[in-house]
Amino acid sequence: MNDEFENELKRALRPVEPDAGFADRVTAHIRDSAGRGDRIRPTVRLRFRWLPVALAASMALGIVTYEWHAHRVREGIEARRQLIEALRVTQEKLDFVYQTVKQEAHSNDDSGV
Amino acid sequence: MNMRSASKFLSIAAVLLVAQSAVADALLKLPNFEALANKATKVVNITLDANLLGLAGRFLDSNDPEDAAAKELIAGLKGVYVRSYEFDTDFAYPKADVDSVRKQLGSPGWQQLVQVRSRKEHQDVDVYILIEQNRATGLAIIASEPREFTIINIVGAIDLQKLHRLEGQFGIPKLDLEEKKSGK
Repeated sequence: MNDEFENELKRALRPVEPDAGFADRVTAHIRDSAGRGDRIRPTVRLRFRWLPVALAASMALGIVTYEWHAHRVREGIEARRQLIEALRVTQEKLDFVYQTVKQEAHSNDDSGV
Repeated sequence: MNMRSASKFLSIAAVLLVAQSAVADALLKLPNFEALANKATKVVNITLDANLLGLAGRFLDSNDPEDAAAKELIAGLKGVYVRSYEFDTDFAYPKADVDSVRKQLGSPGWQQLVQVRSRKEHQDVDVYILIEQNRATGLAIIASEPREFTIINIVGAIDLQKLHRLEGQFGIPKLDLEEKKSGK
């Protein structure tokens, strides 16, 4: 039983010469596959070639916009601080004038002028 | 360009020139006090043009009474300029520079509103206002003491009522002269 199985296996695995045209068929198949690959790859490459450029441009634009906005905010906060300070100084001086004029008027009233 | 559009263009240009000259009149030529900064103990140097005033306005909170008052006040303004220097010695600043600003206020349109000469406080304060078409379009305050001088120039339509209404804000105490007198 074992010998019979071994002989059968040997027969099945014996080296056999390929039929005529096998090498040509394999070569043709490889050429076809390679040809298809050549046709696809440039198309894919062309279609997504802009992607890194677009990503870099978007990032650069985002950074510039953020920086500009942050600069305007800083400028605005500083302008607000300066405005409040300017109004404070103005009020201080006007207050002094108002107080002095009032005191003058009161002293004139008191002296009966 | 035909005659009609040319005359229209000239009219617009004339209006713009008049408007520009009105602003130029209210805007004083302030001397360069940069050199005094090293000698001064306290410096307030503020230059806010229309653009910066607009920007500052956007950062004022309408819900805050102080900010709301400031926002209302700056609505018609085109510029706010303050130069204030304090020193630890008497007359460390060139009086001629301050006088050169006073001289500019002698030009037509400017009117002296108040002049205060306080011997007690050793402080002189002059308040000038620029009137155009019955409207205040400029304000100048020049205050000088032996150790301090302040020049304030506000350009644009100033509502003095609104400015007066700011009293009691920005850390300035409300005047209570009337109460003091009635309480005597």
